[in-house]
Amino acid sequence: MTSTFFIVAVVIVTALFFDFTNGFHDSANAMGTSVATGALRPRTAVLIAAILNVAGAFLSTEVAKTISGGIVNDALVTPTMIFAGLVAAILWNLATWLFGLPSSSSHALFGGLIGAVLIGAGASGVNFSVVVSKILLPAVMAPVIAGLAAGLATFLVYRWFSNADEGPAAGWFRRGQSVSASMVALAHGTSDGQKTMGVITLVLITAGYQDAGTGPQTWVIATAGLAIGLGTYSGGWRIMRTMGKGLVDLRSPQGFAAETTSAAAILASAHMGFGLSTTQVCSGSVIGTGAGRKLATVRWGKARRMVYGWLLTLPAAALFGAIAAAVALTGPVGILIVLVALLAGSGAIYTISRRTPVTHVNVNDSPDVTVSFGRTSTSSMQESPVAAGVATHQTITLSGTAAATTPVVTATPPTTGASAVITSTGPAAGATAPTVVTPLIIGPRAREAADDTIPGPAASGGLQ
Amino acid sequence: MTINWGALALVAVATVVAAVSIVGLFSLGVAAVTAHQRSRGGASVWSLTLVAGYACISAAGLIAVYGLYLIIPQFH
Repeated sequence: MTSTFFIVAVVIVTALFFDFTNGFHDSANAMGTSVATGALRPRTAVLIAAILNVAGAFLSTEVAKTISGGIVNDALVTPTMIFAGLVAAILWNLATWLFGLPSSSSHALFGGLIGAVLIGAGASGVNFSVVVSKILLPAVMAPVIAGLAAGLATFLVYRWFSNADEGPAAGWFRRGQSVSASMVALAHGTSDGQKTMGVITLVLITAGYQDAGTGPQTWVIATAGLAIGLGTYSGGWRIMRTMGKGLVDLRSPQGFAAETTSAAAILASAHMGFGLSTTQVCSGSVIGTGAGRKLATVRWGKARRMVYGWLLTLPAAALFGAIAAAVALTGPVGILIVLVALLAGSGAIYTISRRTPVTHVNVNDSPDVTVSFGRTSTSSMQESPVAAGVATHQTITLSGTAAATTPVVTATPPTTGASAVITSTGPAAGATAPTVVTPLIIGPRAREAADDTIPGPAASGGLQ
Repeated sequence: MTINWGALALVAVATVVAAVSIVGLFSLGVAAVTAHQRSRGGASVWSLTLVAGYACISAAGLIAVYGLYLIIPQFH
């Protein structure tokens, strides 16, 4: 066993792991709104999405000629840098999943690669103008275009057909929505399934295991398709909740408008030469369809945090990628260290997610995805600490104190009573000290929880 | 730095036109079909409204088939 074989094997396994996170991260793009409106039952939705993703992966014949589409200089990229980039992308995907943030898996991968190449080959290895034209500009335009289209479509539907979400009409829209959601899933499979195949194939060619200019081998297609399919089937319920329930309270005509717009935008961008991120298109459609019906039904605070997440994706993944590359490029021991760090990080994020699990059972129960960094597990989903309908000035006061608590992994004693939920540790509460569970609403700024309270009918006029 | 503004504009226009026309067509069809179902007193099973409604829904379905054609690379 040579060191080349070792690094190739490591890259392939990591690439498949990334493909898995890609699948569960993007499951919500296709199915989030269908699950929320009840067009499809949660398990059925992810099963359909998984099958269509695998089918899409097998359908796409054209292998990516470059790993990054010119964002980094591919001639300078070594398998170790690809490995570091993949590790960064996986960790960022898992972290955003923990907080229920829909973010682009492609941007995470590009960010990781950029960081790794900056460390491994210097600034000349990164084409910053391509970063602007292929990542930053589309990131701004995708939600704007999709939001505009979905908003207009929804507005017109409700103008012409005011009782579109009642009775048998709602059933029609749910059926229509299932069709457009399936189209999004299939289109996603053809683009993202092929991405991992491209990475694996390019690594095999660089290492001399495969002739240059040949397509992906059958086992590569099969394993990559399987990885993205399994990922999709596992659901990514935290992101599904944000997409379907968190941003907008969707009715079936809105779900139909959102999914149809997403499918149209993805197909248009794929065939007219201006690539848009599926995640940003789908999130933009959902927000647009909320704004098209009634501005107040969009939880703008949550939407704003999602945009912050998008802006952070590239630099954060680049930072992770740079650190991983700095360690991995020191040799086989460094690669092993990064691999162990990847497993430890993924395990830690998974453990934290189990404290406030979101599953196919409770995905529609609440609009919020909470994260608990406390020592004990909380059995139920934490509601937003602010009850719906509370006057606005009160909510700001409460969440203002919440902002004072810095979320850290180790539980710290609360400085103010309002900022933390004190729970007893079960039957033996008398024997042990009470432990602290800090409820966190997604995003870096807890004080914006005020924006997340459901705008009830009475309050809707007062919001923007 | 080259930004393909033309392609961007084309994608934007195509998305808006496609979304509004498909959603509009489908809604029109659903509105017609459900209106027919509501007004049906039991006398006429078929009416012009119903036929027009199903025609609209079928047209939206045909656009979906065209989308499928666009997605699957083996077709072109």
